[in-house]
Amino acid sequence: MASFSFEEEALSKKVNLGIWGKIFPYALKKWYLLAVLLVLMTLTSFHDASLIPMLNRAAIDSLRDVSNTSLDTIELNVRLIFGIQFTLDFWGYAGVLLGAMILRSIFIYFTFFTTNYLEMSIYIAIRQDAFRRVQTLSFSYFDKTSSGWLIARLQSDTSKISDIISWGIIRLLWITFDLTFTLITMFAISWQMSLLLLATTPLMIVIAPYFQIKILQLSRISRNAFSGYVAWLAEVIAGAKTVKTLAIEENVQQEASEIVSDIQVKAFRTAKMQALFYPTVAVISAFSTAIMIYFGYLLLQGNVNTVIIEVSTFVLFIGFVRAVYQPIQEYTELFTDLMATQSSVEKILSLIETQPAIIDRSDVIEKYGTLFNLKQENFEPIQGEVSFDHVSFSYNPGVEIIHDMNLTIKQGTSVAIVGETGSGKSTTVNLLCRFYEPSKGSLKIDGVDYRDRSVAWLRSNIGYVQQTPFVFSGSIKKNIAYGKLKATDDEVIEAAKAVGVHAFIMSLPKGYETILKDGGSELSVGQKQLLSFARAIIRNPRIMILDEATSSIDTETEASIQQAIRKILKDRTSIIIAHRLSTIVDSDRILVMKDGVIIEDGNHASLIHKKGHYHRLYMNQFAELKVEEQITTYENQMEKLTAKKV
Amino acid sequence: MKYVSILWNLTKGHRLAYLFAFFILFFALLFMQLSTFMTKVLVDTLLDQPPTGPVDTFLTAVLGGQPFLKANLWVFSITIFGFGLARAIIFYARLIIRGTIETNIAKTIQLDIFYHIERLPYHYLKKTKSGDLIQTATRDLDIVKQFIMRQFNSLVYTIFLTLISFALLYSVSWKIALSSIFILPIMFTYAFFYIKKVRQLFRITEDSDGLVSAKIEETLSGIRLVKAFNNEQYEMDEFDHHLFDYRDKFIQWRKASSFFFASSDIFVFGQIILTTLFGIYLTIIGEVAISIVVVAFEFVSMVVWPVRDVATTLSNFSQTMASIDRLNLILKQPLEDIDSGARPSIKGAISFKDMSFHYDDTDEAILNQINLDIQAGETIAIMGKTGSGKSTLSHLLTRLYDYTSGSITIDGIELNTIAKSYVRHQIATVLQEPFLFSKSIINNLKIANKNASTEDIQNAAKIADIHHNILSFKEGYETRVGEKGVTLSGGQKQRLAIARTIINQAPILVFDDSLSAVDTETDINIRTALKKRQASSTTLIITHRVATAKDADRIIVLDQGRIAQLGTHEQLLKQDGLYRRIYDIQTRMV
Repeated sequence: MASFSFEEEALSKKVNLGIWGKIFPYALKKWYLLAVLLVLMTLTSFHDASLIPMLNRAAIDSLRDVSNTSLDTIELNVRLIFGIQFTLDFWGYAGVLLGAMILRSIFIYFTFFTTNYLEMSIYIAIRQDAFRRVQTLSFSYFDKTSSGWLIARLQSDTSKISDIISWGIIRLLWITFDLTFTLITMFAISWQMSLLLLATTPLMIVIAPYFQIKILQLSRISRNAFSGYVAWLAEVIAGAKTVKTLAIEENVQQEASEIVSDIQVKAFRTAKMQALFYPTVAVISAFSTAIMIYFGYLLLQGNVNTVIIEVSTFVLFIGFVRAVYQPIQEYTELFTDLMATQSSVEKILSLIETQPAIIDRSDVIEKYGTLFNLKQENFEPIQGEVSFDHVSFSYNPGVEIIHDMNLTIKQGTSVAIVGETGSGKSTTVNLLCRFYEPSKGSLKIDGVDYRDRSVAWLRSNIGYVQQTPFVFSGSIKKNIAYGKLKATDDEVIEAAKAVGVHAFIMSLPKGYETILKDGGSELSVGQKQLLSFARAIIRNPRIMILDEATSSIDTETEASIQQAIRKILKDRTSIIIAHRLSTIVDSDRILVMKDGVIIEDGNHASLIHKKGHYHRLYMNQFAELKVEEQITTYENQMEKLTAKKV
Repeated sequence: MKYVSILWNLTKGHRLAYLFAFFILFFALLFMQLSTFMTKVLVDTLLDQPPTGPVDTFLTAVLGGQPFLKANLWVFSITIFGFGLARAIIFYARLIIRGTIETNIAKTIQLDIFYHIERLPYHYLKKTKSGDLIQTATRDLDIVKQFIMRQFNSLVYTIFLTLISFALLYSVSWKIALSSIFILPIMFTYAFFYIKKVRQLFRITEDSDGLVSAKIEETLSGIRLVKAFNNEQYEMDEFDHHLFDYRDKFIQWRKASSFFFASSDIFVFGQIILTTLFGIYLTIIGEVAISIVVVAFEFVSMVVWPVRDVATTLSNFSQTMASIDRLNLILKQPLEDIDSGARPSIKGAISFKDMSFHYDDTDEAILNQINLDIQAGETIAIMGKTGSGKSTLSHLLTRLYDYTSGSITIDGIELNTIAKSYVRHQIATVLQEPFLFSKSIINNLKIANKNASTEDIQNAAKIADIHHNILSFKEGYETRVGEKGVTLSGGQKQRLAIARTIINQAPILVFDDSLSAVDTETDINIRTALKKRQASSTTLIITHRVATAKDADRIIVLDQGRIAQLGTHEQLLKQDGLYRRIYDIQTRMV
């Protein structure tokens, strides 16, 4: 089931220029797109903010008095900014309007298209960087970071950021050019009226940001409340059986009512703020228009000074009120949008900038290559002897999990580790796989400290099967070949045969080409685990690790799994962590761990006989088994004990 | 029509307010357009042109006539400001009313759908993906809400705005008025259909994006394997492959949408230019005054954009319809009736007579011809392999399912005539999988009985042998469980679930393998303490432990839906069967 847990969307309080400075280069890399946009925006803004008003003005001026003109004789004097002037007849005027319209559409098309292209480029670059980083990070990072968090970074955050950067740039350019052209045009017509208009803007500059930040904050609160409801709902649905058997529908309905009311109260608070904002802006702009008319009227009468302004100027300036107010609003909108995205930027940068805890030394990289560029020709062959030499380990400073462990596993022997949760058995395996490195002491493979060789060298020699069988979406063949990317079809089949899943695969209509989806929901857990075994064995590793690999197997597949395990462990150094008793009774050696120390060491018969910790552990686990599991486990054990006696 | 009636039903209780909001909207828009229309009066006054239509004649007359106005232009300042203010106030009122209705409707719908989901029968919930239910209850609901509150609203907004503008222009010149809406239908049609194509490309892009997301999720959940198998580079390549596919589709989609905006802009500006040029032409030939052209220009500029937007949103009605369909699917589902039925007082005798059960979709009997009489106060242990029908038995007793033939009676009363909620209160069940809510321990316990006293709760916790564990947490009973709180072990969860269930002292108790993760000693402690408090309660314990079963008055062994063995511990030990087999194993193992 999808996880519906959510994180509260935090809202930054302060502008953090540093992080924007780091993310902006993603856009700068495409400087040529930015240059194209600059030109396109200039032209579009000129059309909207200057050309059209000026053409309108020319029409009003020439048409004030039409008593002596006709369609053929009319002359429209167009005065553009920067002193450009020309005269048009009616058809010329129409031609200019239409031509400008078509040109503008073309500009718009290319503006949008270029911006989209820019958005995609940024999006791809950020995602690639983040994904590559995820590939190189060490396990300590994934232990501390939930995959939900990482998914949010790689998915929604990258989209949000590429969107805000690319479209933010466009909006910024567009608003700025619009405003600039409006101002130039205004001042070209009448500087007195322009100053008059500008005199009322400070009010707007103060009010707009105030409202928009408030609205943003309130809407975040109500959005978070809603996400909380979704999480709550998911839980209630998951617990439907409990709700029904306890007959607590009334209580739950009551709770729903409280939560939903809370959401609506918060939503309404946002709506109220919005309801206040737009009328306020409307009143301010109406006020501003009124002032324009009144003082314009004084100017018109020549009372203020001798300049006489024209009717067209009057009309134009009424329109300019909006042309100036709109950008102010849009600037604050852009600003709040940036603020809304800032925490996303912070988070994704923190991901991209995280350094992996385990990295090979530079001389090791020199010889063996990096994770993305292996120098396989320098990889030494491995024998498979593993030794822990005074190994201690702690995840967090001060809390030691493994204490001074000394252990040598001869090549080709199988060792099982048992112990309660927190005893350190998983950590031991994690250390061996170099998912973590010892804090003290060293871990040697064939007598050489594994840090003297690369991570890739080690892992290329390890076959690893984890607790929950994992199936990649793709064909069965691809899933097995995941252990050895260049494997031939024969090798894949051989691996499947070795673990005894070949017959099953062939029984499927499409055989090895069967596509597995949704984590292989069409297969049983046991079948999936057999595929995992095949995947591990195809690389013919010297060391095999089964990390709770049999815990989630159903009893039906138990027998085939046991067989498979016996086969894949043969002649290999192996370490098994198992909850299921039947998995380990066969091992050459069983280690019992407690609190980070090995407290018992022997084989199944000797440890059972000893009636110590192992015996107790074994019995406790037995008590939790289902009836039929008890029978099979018991029979298994009897079989083995008698076999040993013989 | 089906959709209209569903939407109509959803607005129940809020319809008058909904209509009132439109009424107010009309006046807000009227004032907005009148204040723009004042520009015409102003220009006419400045140019000494007489008013030509009824509306401007009226406005001019009301304001004192042209000569007066020309001498006192400040009147315009006042009027325009006055209109602006009136508009602002109405606008504010409108938004507040809209907000109120919106939140009220949202709340009603949300609770309605929740009520439905909560009372869906167990078998329906079991076969439905919970993700789908959640999607419907949140996303689909939101889409429908958006339609009712926003999209329909903007449709009405656009219609009003167009009508008012048209009427005002018509009052001065019908020719200009007609020219001002000439291109709108063409634009509407173009936008309505072209955006569908864009949306199609969008869907394709979205699908590709889904693949990228799936890849991310897959890699993250399989990260151990990626690393263990050294396949980092391979994963990067795979990721790039998906990413570039997405990029290509994204560019295709946006190319189409860019073209849509650029091309529909031609209609938008075309309409503005058409009206302007036509107005200029009429002015030149002396039919109208330039003031009309100024106003027409303003009006058309205001109308064209909303028309285009409405066309694009309306063309997406199919999405809304799909959401309505999914909502309706839940809403029309028959609900579990938990309240009707008898509520007799119950002592605890249970009797099965030829009782059988099979699921709706198959004839295979899960339980077959069960005959059994359990006396009040008796303790019965039930054993059997997986699939033998043990859990189904407990499902039937709590009426999560109803038996298909034969009868079950409680104190002689037929079980399926007793109200479900009542049955579930009387037959307290502890489920196999303990489910706890992510809230504090005390609230988890209280959920079964809101009025339980602290003493009741602690008593229950003591009986369930979890009281001391709870006290050992830093915040005691206030400790939160789940993702944001403490992680409990399987045994602790089971014990909490037991405590929750036994807060209410029910005459019948069912433990559905709910002690499996508790060690044997604690198991005994819990059962002893419970027996001490509720000696007269009938108890059914589904278990796989002989140690648990042997203390029961009688033991049932189920096999393939039938009672294979029935008797006391001693009796069953003498029989050859599963019970003795397990007994042998369990005693020999120890």
